[in-house]
Amino acid sequence: MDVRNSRRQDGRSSVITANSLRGGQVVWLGAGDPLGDGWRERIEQATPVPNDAIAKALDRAAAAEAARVVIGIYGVELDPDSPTPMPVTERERIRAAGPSVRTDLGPQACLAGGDQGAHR
Amino acid sequence: MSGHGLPVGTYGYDATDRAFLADRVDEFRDQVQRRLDGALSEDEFKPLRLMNGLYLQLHAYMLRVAIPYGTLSAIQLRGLAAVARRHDRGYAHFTTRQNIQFNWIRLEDAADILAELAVVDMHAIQTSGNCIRNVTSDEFAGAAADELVDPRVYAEILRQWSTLHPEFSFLPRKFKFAISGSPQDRVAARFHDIGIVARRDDAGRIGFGVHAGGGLGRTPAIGIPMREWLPEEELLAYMEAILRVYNAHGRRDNAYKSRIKILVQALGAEAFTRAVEDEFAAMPRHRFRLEPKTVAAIAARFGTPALEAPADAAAVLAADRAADPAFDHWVSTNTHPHRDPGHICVVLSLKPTGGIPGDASAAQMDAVADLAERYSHAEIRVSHLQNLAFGHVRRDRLRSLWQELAALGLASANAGLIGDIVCCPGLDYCTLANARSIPIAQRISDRFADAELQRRIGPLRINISGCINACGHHHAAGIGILGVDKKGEEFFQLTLGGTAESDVAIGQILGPSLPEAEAVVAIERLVETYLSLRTGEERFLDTYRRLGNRPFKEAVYAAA
Ligand code: SF4
Repeated sequence: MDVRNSRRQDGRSSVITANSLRGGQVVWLGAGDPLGDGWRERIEQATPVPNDAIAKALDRAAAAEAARVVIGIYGVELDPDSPTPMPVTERERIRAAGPSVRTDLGPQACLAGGDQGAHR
Repeated sequence: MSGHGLPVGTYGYDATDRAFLADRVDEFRDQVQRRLDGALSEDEFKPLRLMNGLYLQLHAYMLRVAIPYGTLSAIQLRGLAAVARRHDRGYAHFTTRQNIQFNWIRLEDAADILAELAVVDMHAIQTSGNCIRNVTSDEFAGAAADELVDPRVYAEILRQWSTLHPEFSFLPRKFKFAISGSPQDRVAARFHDIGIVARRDDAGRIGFGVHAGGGLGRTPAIGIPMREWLPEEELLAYMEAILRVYNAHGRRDNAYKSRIKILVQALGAEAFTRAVEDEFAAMPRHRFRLEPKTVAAIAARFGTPALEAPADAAAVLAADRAADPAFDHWVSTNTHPHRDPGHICVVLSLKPTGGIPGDASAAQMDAVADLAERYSHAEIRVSHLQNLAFGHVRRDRLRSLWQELAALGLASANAGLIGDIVCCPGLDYCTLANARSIPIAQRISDRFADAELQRRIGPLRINISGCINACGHHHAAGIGILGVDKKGEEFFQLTLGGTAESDVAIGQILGPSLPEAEAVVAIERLVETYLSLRTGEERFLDTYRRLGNRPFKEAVYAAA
């Protein structure tokens, strides 16, 4: 895993992310079955996990990779000062929202009702 | 259509080529299915998808499609537009390696897309992996007045020699060729693993200058001259000798040290050259001899345009220019002399003010295909500077083309000027990025939008990369910008004095990296400093070379 995504401070929370194997789109682990409907396209639907429990949660989620639901599972630390789930790194904020230079695309566009293809 | 009845500028596939592509598509479809069924793990599947140009990027899979030597037919460009519309989000990105990238691809669709591309004789082979990659060439190939040979013919010869070459499928690392058909290097030849530049010897015979060991990335290096002049018949044998030496001695234990430039540096230029010459002397050269009839046979597979223009075509253009200063300005920046006096080569800028360098919408691609059919023998070129070009436009029809391009947003008069920014996808798309490169390009483009100001600044290249892999060729620009990660924050390092042209040089780091807003201000200060210190007709590079980086450094950091 990329070291830039593995920084974890005590007392903070992280969410678990991956890419869908079939579609390639960014997904976040929320309530539900990690082998089925647990992976969501919106970070708001992800379930935050305290950093001291994230390693175990990642181990459990790994089954979804073996089951060919997703690829590249890792944890993303959240900004403790944000009222909504907001990654601490710019990279993950862009993954969660979509390209900052094309706000008509990616999950950010759905908020604005713009993207034609996000839920294909 | 051409005098030969073949599509102009692109290599005409035959039944064997098409059967080969069809087999590759079937093979990949089967591989994808086996991945989805679980017969292949991701570790097993990843090299197979990469061999078909399919990467996993930040938001989705990304498909990189080869545009051999940067030439497309109108039919092919429409095929790409159709993929953008049907399988992506209605746009695509032209890269510095004359490829095109689709950013929102689904694995489930990938084989269908390759099948659709195969219908227009296109593919994604050799766009990834440790093989010989798509050979790049110059955007005025087969057209420029200063050209000695059509480089696409030799690029195709190299492609056929290298594709599926048993020894070259698993090289220590990726390997990139560029070939210029003109002695004027328009392909950044000396920043390639092997760069080939057509040249005449003292007797006036046409051959090739050969450079090896150039590259950008973490360790930028200028290719060393291997042969001042190599006869055409020895081209393949000599390339074989270089590749053999690289294959035998290149490092496979460390990805950072595996490119040929590191081998050249490790052995030293002299010892490397000697090793290649020894290999060349010892190998069965007759097996690789490039016969004139082979060259002629490959050349015959390319359509050539029937160049017909009215006798007054040049006079009409001169009158059009005199009548319209905006058109005149665009002609002076965005055209290049053609070998035929009635024709001209044209750059279609993919750098609108504040736009995303290299991006084109499906609608633009379709419209460019239509224009190519009407104005330039149905042929389009992609440049390594992320623009498009038409090779053969009649001079008397140039103004009408310009008007149509303007309506599509493709007539920015900025080729080679500060608005013509080269920029990689950066952190907005790329999983390897440290920082976003596109927003800084957009801010600089906005800041210098004024056409008069751009003209006053004159030739100045700004290239931006989102990480040290240097896909944006930042070391090869008068002003280079490199995104770096400083404790999770995006910072930008500036380099000055680089160029990939005949007076090749590697840009040098100016000082500590800056946050984005300060980096844009720094660019303004660099330009102001240059304008205040230049003498006569000096380009930015000339002033920098005369004065060194001190005044520029002071201007950027003194106020900070
Ligand atoms: S330079 Fe880096 S960030 Fe830019 S496209 Fe290449 S790998 Fe990605």
